[in-house]
Amino acid sequence: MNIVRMAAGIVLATILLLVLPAEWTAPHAYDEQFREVAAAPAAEGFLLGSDALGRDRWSRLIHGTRLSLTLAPAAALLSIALAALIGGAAGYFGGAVERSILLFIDFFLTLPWLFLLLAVRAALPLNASPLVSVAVTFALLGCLGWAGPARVVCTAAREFRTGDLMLQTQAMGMSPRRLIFRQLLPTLAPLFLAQFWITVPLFILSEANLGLLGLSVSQPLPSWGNLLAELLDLPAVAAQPAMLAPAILLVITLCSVQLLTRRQVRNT
Amino acid sequence: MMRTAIHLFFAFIFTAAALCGQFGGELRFALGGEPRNLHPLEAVDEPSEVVRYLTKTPLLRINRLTQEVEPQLASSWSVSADGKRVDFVLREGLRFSDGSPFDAHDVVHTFELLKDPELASPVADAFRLEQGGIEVRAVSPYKVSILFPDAVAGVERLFDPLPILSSRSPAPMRATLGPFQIEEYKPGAYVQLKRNANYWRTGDGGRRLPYLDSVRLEIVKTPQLELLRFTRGQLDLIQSLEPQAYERIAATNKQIARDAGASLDAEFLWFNLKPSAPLPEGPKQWFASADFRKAISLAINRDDLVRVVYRGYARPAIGPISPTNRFWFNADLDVSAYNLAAAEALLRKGGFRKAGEQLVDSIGRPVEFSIITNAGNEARSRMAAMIQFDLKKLGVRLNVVTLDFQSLIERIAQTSDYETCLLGFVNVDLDPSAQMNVWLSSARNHPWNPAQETPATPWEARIDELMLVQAKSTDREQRRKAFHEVQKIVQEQAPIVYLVHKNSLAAVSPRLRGVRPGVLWPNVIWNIEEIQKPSELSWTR
Amino acid sequence: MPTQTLAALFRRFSLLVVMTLGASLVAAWLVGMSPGSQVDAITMDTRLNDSSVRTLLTERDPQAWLGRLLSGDLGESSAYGRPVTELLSERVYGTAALVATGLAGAWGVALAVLLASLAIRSAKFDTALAALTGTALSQPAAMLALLCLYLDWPGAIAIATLLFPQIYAYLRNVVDRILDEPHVLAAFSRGVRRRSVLWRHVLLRAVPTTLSLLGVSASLAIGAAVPVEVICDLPGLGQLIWEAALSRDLPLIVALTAVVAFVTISANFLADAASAFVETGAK
Repeated sequence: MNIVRMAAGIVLATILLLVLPAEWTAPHAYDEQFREVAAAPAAEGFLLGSDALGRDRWSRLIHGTRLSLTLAPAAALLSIALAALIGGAAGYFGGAVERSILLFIDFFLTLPWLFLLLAVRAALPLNASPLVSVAVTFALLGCLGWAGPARVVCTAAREFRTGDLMLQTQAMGMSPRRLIFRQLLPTLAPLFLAQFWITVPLFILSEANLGLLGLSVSQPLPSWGNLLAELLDLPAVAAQPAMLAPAILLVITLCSVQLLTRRQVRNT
Repeated sequence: MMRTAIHLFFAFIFTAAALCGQFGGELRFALGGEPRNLHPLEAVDEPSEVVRYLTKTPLLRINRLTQEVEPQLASSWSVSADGKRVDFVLREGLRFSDGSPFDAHDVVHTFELLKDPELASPVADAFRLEQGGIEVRAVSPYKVSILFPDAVAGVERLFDPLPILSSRSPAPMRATLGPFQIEEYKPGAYVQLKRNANYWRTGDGGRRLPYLDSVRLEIVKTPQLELLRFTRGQLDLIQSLEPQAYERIAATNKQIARDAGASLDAEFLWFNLKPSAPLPEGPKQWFASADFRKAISLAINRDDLVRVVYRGYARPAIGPISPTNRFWFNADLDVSAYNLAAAEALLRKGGFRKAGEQLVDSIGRPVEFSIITNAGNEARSRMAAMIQFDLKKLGVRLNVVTLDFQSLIERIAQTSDYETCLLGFVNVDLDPSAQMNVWLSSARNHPWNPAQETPATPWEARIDELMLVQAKSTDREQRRKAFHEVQKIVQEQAPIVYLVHKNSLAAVSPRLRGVRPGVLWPNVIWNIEEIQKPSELSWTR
Repeated sequence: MPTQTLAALFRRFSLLVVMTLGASLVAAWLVGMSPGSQVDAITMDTRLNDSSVRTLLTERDPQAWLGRLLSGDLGESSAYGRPVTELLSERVYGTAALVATGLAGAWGVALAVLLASLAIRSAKFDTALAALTGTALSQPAAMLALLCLYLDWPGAIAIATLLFPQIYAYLRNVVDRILDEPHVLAAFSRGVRRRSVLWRHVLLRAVPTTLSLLGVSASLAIGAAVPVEVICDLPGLGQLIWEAALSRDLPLIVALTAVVAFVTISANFLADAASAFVETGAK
């Protein structure tokens, strides 16, 4: 366990400890509007200043981080699980199965799924709580985001199938089930992890991009998505640099995770 | 002595030259999107209408500053006593850009084009040609009479958007009497206009206007890019600015930022009062009570909306007409200030009571409903969040749902599957007759209950009556009284809760002369023929 | 041999066409299913009377559109009021240039960084690299596009920044797995020069899987082109996609889906064919 990994682990643990009990750690309610101090810089009681409606940025960051760090990884997990299943099956079985699944994946990738998102959100009742609608959005993203990773998983599984390891284990007479669980999955695990950590920020950011289509988190719920969307007003950011906090936090979180989960450097 | 005299002489010459208009230069500003239809009569989207405004001239024009009617192609006009006939005396000796002569036949011809039933044109619809009976007669080569079947209130304003097309030109769509003509349209990039050498108006010194040589309309779809290009000097003006952007510009250079005051536009929310709408029982019953609607209106702090969302560049709204519309605004309306106690009293009267933090109605249902608004509009999203917080103090739970525009339209125009809606109106016309499609209960744009077969409530029936009276009357005072009563009824019944009138904010480069921004569209370029862009080599500073 | 390859090519091509058409039809169905596909913003214009609105309401009947499509007419865009073929041909080069440059940049940087990392076997370097890719991954496409706008950089830079971490992470993963293999470790321990081991055993082996990533990265790049074009106001296909989606412009959406499907699927086909070729060649 080297210093870097330890540091990354401590950073992540701190963030989680701060964010998970948000009701207690946040100094204000995330929807409370202090209108006399709207768009104000950092001050007494407002660690990062206030947003355009006078809400405490720090409290909103805490709540938003908790929301995004819960829902985005859950959705990514769903995506990677689907990718592992579909892509893995394609690569493992090979032949016609692989060809047809790959075709299906390509087909899936090119469709404008945006309209499905819009249709599902429209089907939700107008009075559904903001939490329910954002959970549904992330669940949908999870169901739709498996295609890119699946192709990558398929290639890796195919390599395994045509590789030496597979020949050896088959020669040993291992049952397919043991083969999959003891050999294939462990080989592919690092790939799953890598794809997972690419997908998590992708979903966090997708949620931000969807805001322009009315698919974002409803007022007054904060999320990394809508906190980051505030940054699109660059001159305002220049005036109030505290607005960069969610972006910096996102970078720190992702880097820590990268550092924590990557392989040791080869010494060859 | 001699040298001083020479200096004085030259100083006099150059000052005189400066005081006379500076000719030349190219004005550049942005269109918000692609012009969809450059046919002058069919133009319905804003970019196409800007192009039409700059390239065509009507018979009469409304001065965007004084709000008075000005002669353009018609040197004078008169309206008959019964209001059914308008006589125009046209200017003589005018020519279209390609040299074709202009006379009364062109006016007659234009009206013939308008009468085409296949034509879908807002200009034609304003004349209500489908009801038939408009007669246009060329009494002499330079005199035209237009006869209407019924008196038309404020008939002159109908002619402001009407372009006169040539009856004789080989290229009638391109030939124009306006200050500029279309030189090139590059889709996705720009529309290039060049000066019309045959424009009728002359400036100081007798030279033909416009001062500018050309106008370049850049197609810029994002406001951020427009602002960026303006600050870099690539654009000369911005017609409409968001309050935050305006503040920033005003901070750097007070001269550039122009605030023309409260516009005619209004932002508001309304309740879905359609009986057949798929609303749950609770909202249906609550919305049916005018006291409930008024309580909601009283609980909204409009001053906060103005201050926080619009940074002070707006006015609280109490009705559909902005105070800027001096003649039509009813100054006797209650200035319904923010009054939480009064709101609570009205609710108690209706049997509502508080169970802890939550408001419940007389049978114990928690008061909760939703408001929809369009995504991508930061101001509306913020107003919705502020209203949500305000209503929380009453114990009402408001769910804010932002939808993309197509989904929104589907709900309000087709399925009526919504509870309340937050939107805004852009008013291009001072006259309430332009809003007939909003106030008549049978109209498709009647917000809270569109396209009714018969008026659903007595007060809507009264509004119908009053609107029809004012549409046909020629007595300005009678019209004004009628429309004042409409505003009063709307305030008493509160089917619509008016929120703010935004200010008309623009940015104008200090290099330009003659720009006089108003609140009526097109607020900055309405006097395009008078705008000058002196070149850098000029002797004046 | 040649006739076999020709037959295979023909099969692939017809598959490509069928899938493109299929994607277009499914796209049309998705559009029809989404809310607001049967209404038009024109109804909100209070100046127009009902009959004008009826005249202006563009044809939104999917079946009529399908009939026209089958007879070769791609139709007219309701958002722009112009023929779809015109719009597409005006804008395709801009987007192609943007996507190609962005992809080239992303791959170039990813490969350069990978080779550097293999050459410089330093823990600090790898940590810095992890930080860099982590930072690049956490930038929203809109933010990168906005930065390019304000700094006057070409939009391709935003696309390259978006794609490079994913490409690098994948390549790194592939290379690491190969480095783990017994015969590669054996080659190192045998004392063979590091550089020739890397070149022959590792990098050459990585080529087939790398080629398949090329196909996926093409579709990622096209997706990234949409926010970049919208924010930087570049008149390309990405901007069309966005506006067509917002206004539920059926003819345009379908035509664009067909284009994207064709490009993506053929990119993947080519990548798969190339990697199969290299594999058989290597073996």
